[in-house]
Amino acid sequence: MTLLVESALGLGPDVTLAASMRNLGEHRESYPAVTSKPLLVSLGMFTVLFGVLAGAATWGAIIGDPVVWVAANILWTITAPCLLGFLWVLLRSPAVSRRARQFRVHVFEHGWVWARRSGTEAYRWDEVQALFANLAAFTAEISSRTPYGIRITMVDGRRMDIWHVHVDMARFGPLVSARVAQAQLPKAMAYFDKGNPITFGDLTVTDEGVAYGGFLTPWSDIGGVEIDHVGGNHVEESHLSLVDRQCRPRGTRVNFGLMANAYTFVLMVETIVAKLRSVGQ
Amino acid sequence: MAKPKAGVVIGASALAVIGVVFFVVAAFSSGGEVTCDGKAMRPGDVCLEVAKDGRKTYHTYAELKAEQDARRPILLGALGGVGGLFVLAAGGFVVAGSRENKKDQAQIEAAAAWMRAG
Repeated sequence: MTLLVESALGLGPDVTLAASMRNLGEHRESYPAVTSKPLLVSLGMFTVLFGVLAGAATWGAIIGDPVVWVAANILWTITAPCLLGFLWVLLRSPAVSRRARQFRVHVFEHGWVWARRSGTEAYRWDEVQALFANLAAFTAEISSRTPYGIRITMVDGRRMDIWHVHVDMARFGPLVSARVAQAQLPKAMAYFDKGNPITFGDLTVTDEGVAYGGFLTPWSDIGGVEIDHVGGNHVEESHLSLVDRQCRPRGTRVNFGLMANAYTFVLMVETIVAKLRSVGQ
Repeated sequence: MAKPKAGVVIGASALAVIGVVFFVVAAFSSGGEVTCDGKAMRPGDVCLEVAKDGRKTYHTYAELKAEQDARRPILLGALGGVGGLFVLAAGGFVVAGSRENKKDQAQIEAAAAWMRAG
């Protein structure tokens, strides 16, 4: 008889305990740790490149001019950390390490549990205080608007950085950013509805519109928010800009990755714009 | 000054280490020793250079000392300059990383207001 391993294994007792301590609700899905191929390939390429050059320089120093030893020493000094980095990443990756194969991100109804080398910790969507998301077309499989790296600070001060080198961010990235934004939106709107402006990075949401460095874009000029990714597949900066109802840019563009809770900002602007439209403004 | 992120510290440390390696190599290259075929010469020694076509040239200690002393500042300048650039880049990374982290921290604290009140 054969069994589906993931189902048969179920959740570890540490994961179940961590999830129940934070009342995370039902388990939904799990994402295994990944082997970071781009990191391994780049470190491997640097190791081979500098290793070959260092070998050639050493050979040249032995048979030719001893002055070449200087170049050989420099090249070996560059090769050594590349090789050490390659081995460090490889030996800690799920491809080689049995322990790393146990690491996972488990998604629950109200949050997630991350089982990793430093321990197993649970996080609730509604306890995320700040979420910074780096967007990029880092690999072909991930689209340009997928967060490939996320930095989170919880209300209790805990911090975590989760990147495409840890887990499949093409699946987990959009999920965590959407759930956190949905959990934060009611809090942000409640605070805003009491007459308080809310600042997201360089942008401030006010009753009159969205302000940037003393310049205000009124709500009547705002149709929504656009996130663009400039410069092709290898630029790691994405920008957020306000657009009018004809999708023409209004106001300024800000760096998406440097803006805390940018997804909540997007939802908030969309909510306010929809509310104003419903009352005919 | 806010503490930079771990990634910035690791990157800056790697750059600084490379810079220091250049300085160390420069220091070892500044020994002032006159060499012939990698071996130290003493006053009175003669160095025989055999070209690929078999032509032989003799160099005295004084000739080689003058030649190598003229070349040494260029080598030292190049190695020290490259090392200095790496160390400067490392410092720049740390300063930029600290500034960025300070900005991030301000945003995290600003979010606390509406997270608690909401």
